[in-house]
Amino acid sequence: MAITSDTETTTARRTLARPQILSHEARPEARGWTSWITTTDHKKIGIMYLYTVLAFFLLGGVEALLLRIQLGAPDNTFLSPEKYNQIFTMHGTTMIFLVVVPLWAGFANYLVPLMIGARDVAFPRINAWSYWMFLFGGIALYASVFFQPPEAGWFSYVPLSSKEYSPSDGQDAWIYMVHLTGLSSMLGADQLHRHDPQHARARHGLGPHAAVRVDDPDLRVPDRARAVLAGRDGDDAAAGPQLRHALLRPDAGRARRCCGSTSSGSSATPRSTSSCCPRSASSPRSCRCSPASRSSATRRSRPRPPASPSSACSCGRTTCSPRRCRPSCSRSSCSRAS
Amino acid sequence: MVVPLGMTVILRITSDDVAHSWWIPALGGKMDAVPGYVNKTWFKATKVGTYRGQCAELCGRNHANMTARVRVVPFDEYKAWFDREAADIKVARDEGAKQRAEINKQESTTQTP
Repeated sequence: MAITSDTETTTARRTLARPQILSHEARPEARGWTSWITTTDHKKIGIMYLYTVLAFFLLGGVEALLLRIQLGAPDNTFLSPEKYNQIFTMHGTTMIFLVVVPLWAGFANYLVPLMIGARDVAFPRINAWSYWMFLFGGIALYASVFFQPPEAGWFSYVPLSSKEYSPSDGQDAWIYMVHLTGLSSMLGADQLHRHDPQHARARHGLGPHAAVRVDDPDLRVPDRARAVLAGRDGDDAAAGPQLRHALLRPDAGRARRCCGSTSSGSSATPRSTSSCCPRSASSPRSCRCSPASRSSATRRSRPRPPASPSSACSCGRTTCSPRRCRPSCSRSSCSRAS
Repeated sequence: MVVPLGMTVILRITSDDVAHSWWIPALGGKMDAVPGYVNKTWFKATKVGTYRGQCAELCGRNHANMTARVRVVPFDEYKAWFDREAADIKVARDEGAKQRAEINKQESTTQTP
C-alpha cells in the first residue's frame, strides 16, 4: 500500500515538471509549391536563399559577359556608354547585394540551427520575411531593366547618384533594393545573433560562430542605405524626415576626405563607409565624436542611482528585474529575493 | 598640364560637378576630386616627356573619355609657356572687358530716350 502511494506521488511530480506544449490549432501540412512560399522552416528558407542567389548569380554572370564583350576589342561599339554603365551597375549591384550577402544568409540559415542544435532560428517568421524582402529587393532592381536601369555604379556615390546627375527612376529602384536587401540581411543576421554567439563558440566550436561573424557587417548596412538615400537630397519619396540632411554629400560641408570616395576598392564597402566618416555616419556606434553620442557616453559613465531594495535580486545585480538578467538569474530567484 | 622638370608640383584638386579622381600612374597615386572639398597632392617629375592618365572615379557616361595629360618640360621652356599663357589670358581678359564696356554703353544709349 505504502509503495503504491509513493509511486503515485512520483508520477504526479513528474507530470507537473514536464513542460507542456499547447496546440491551439492543427493545420494540415502544406504540400507542393505552397509549402515553399508559406514555410518558416530554416532549412527550406536556406534552400530558397541558395536557389535565388544562384539565379541572380547567373544574371550577374551574363552581365559580366556583356561587359567583357564590349571590352574585348578597342573602340568596340557593342554597348553604348549609357548601356555599359547600366550593365556594370546591375552587375556590381547583383553580385554584392544579391549574391555575396544572401549567399551567406543561405548557408547560415540552413546550417547554424543544425550545428547548434536549435529547432529553428529565433524568429522563424521574421526569418521568412527577410528572405522575401531579399527576393523582392532583387525584383525591384531588375524591374528597372524595363524602364531605365541605374547607372551610377554599385557604390552609387553622391553626387553622381543624386537626382541632379542621375534623374532616372532606375536609381530609385536601386535605393529600394538597398533598403529591402539591407533590412533583410540585418534581420537575418539578427536571427543568428540571437542564438547567443558566445555560447555557440564555447559549446559548438567555431563553425556557427564564424557564420554569425560573417553576417556581422550586414548589421551596418543601414548606415549605407541612409547615406545613399540622403544623397537623393531628401526629395525622394522613400526618404523619411530624419534622413533629409545630406549625410554623405561632400559639398554639404561635413565631409571628411575619405567620404567623397576612395581610390581603393575596399573602402567602398558598407563597413568602412560607416567607420571612416565619424560625423556623417548615422549610427551612434560609429559616430563617436558627435555631440549626441558624447553625451550618452557621459551619461553611461555616471554612477547609477542605487536601486530600490524591492528590485534587488539573489543573483547579485542591484538593477535586476526578472526580465533583464536571464539566464544568470531566473524569474523565480528574482521573485524570491523581492 | 605643363610642368617644369625636377620641381615639386603641388596640386589642389577639387570638382564642380560629380566626384572624379586624378590619376597619372607614372606620377603617383590617385587623388579624388570631390566637390566642396580641396584635396592636396604633389609630384616631382624627373624625366622630360608626356605622361597620360585617366579619371579614376566613375563620373558618368563619358567617364572613359575623361583623360588627363601632363607634359614635363625643362624649366626654361616651362617659363616661356607660362608667360605665353599669361599674356594670352591677359589679352582675352582685356578683350572681354572691352566688349562688356561696349555692350554697356550701347544699352545705356538705347535706354535713354
